[in-house]
Amino acid sequence: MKSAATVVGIIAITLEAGLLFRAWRERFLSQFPLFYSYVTYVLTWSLITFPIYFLVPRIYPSVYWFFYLMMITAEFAVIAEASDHIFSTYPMIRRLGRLLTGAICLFLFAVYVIPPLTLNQPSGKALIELYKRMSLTKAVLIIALLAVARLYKLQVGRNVSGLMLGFIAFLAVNIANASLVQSYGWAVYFKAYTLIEPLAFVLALSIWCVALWRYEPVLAARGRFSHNGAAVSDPLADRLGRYDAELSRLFRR
Amino acid sequence: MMLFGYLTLAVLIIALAILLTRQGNGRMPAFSHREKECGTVLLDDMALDLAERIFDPGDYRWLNDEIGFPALACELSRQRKAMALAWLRCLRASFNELVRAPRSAGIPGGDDGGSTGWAMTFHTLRFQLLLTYAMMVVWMFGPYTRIAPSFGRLRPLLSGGPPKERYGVRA
Repeated sequence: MKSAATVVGIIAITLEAGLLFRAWRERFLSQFPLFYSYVTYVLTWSLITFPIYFLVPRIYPSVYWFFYLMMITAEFAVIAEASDHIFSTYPMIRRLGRLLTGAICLFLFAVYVIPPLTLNQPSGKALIELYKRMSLTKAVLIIALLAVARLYKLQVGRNVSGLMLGFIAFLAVNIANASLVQSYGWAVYFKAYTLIEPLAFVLALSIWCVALWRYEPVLAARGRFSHNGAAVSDPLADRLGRYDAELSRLFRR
Repeated sequence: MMLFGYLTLAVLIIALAILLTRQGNGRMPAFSHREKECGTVLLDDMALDLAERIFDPGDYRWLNDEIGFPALACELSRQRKAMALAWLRCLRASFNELVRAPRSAGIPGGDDGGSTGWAMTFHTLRFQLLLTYAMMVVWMFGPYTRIAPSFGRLRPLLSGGPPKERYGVRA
């Protein structure tokens, strides 16, 4: 089992380094600064913890969870960055991604993530519960962002959809894995857990490598009605105001 | 039970994400049949006249009260309800088209950043919410119902006078 975990660890480090090298070589690191910072952090973390795993296994769990909690928090920022890429091209809903991210996170943290932390329970159980609930929060956030993009028929683009899909694959496996460890206990499920979790991250890295092999900016869709001569010359706010006035007239009937 | 629930949720999340990313990755947005029917600019004078007519209860009252054909009046109301819903759907489709106007389309005011960006987003959401509410009211009560809640019924209590009659409007 230890050799399998070692192989998976080496594959993960190779993919992380490859992902960063490719973006640096093709000069699109700056297009996704938070995402590549996140990958750099994970790579640094892997390079630090890998020797500890073999040389000082006694302190490995503490080091692992410290780095891991930072990582799962940073993932929210990466999702917010991806949401900006979806909506920033469209002035009327430029802030919608941030708004959705903030609203969903606030709501789910208040009603779902925080309450179990107030219970008196062993730190191991509390950590795995937090990890599962934060993973579900991120998954719901990604689904909501993709659903709103779908509602407005916005093109998400290969890079961002791959980024989201990689995260979702990783998060979904995390949710299942955490539930299994909670049901069967660490004594029974520990070995499978320590293999499945890095395997899920390798899956996510593979999806990111394919999706972010080259930078493909999204070309905004051209409307059918919005290019009819005079209408297009009006400021966007005026046009929004006209729609608003029309609907308000209906309400004043 | 809890385990089964979370495992199902994990599978559903992956399936939903794959479905949504596949649809969002197309080259051009796919317009529904309904949206293709709305191939006109809705805010020109002709379209506004049409909206006035759809939501005006005059014809219904004339058939029902003045010449006494309640069955025909009901049929007219039913057809007007369908038209009103179609008009509101077209308004939403046309509005969504405006939402999709990109920054690079050369539209003045499109590059506003900062607080204006937030204000525009709030206005857009407000419009969508009101439109959804209007569609719900028309779908449930028909096109001749007052969409905004009225305090007319409270007037006698407040002023002591009778409620003001509104022609053709069901409160």
